[in-house]
Amino acid sequence: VSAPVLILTNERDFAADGVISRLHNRGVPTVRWNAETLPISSVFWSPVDPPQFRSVWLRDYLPGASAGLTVAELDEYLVVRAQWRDWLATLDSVSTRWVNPIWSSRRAENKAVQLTTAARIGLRVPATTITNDPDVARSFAAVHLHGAVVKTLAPGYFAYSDQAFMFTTELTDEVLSAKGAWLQQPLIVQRRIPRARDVRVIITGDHVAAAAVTTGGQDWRLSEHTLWTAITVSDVIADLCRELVRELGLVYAAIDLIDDGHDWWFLEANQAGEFQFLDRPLDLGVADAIATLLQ
Amino acid sequence: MTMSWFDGMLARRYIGEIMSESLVRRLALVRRTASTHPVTRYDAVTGMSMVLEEGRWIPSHESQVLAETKKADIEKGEDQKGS
Repeated sequence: VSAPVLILTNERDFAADGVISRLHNRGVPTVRWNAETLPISSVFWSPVDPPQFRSVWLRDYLPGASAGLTVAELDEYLVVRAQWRDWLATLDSVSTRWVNPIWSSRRAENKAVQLTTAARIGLRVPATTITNDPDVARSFAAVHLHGAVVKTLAPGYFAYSDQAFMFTTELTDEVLSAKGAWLQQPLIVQRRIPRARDVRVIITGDHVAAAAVTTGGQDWRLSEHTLWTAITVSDVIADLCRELVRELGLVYAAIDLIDDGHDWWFLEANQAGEFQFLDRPLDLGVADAIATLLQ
Repeated sequence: MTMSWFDGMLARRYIGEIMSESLVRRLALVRRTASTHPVTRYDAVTGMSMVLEEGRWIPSHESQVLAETKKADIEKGEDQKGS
């Protein structure tokens, strides 16, 4: 019996459904573990008898805590969660292909690593600083014609209270005035790039897909009307994006860029970035490419 | 500014002390969906999600309703994170 593909995700991952259906159509067995129901079965590992999977697609893995836990319950949750986090690495055998490789994916989540790597290979990267000091941020913004934006260094999603999210925000005097709030955490402060359009380039192995959208705001996710269109990027941009993915040790990434009308600017590379919202309506071939990587 | 206590101790640097509200918290927005979210359920047998369309459950990858749903409506505000 051939080893199955293991898909680590959650029950609401509709993008995974599309890839799983393709794998089934190709006769490839799959096993899906959802974070909501982890642990779903008994697990085992030994140095001489590791679990066998043809490949692992790492989309989402660890369950979230429930709201309203007591301190003792939260303590237990965190300890148990840490065991499952390290258990995942037991699947990292040489015969298993990962999308994306586990250690590289963890490293690639760091935006400072992304920006440094992108700049090193030749992508145009906006001037950036990471700080918790509003005076540093103010001085940084003052030397840039179009000011600056502020964004989180790690995901700013409040999962256990009101599901609020910090999007990319313009660095205004009002934002800068909250000195005490600034000191609580380091944030990314970046030169604001006037955008003609936002671009997402999706790299899957050697497969390149891209789409663009024009919105008026700093973060297209907040726009009421987003009409994405498929585009073909230049060979230069395609090669740079492929190289970035390779340099980060990945095989898949959704790379966000800004086209200012003259130049293309790198913003970030999402190692587990969403693709279905573009792939289905625009028929970009991403789900097929992912299935091919996994099979 | 004094902070408000909210669920979970993860957000606290010092248990029992009052700290300022973080800038992340202050700038975070509760996003409203731009389109009606489809009714879905997870089918453990097939290992895929189903979408309710015109009274019938359709596999999500065949759903037209889901295909028309904005990205912002079907995820938590950020791309998947792996672990």
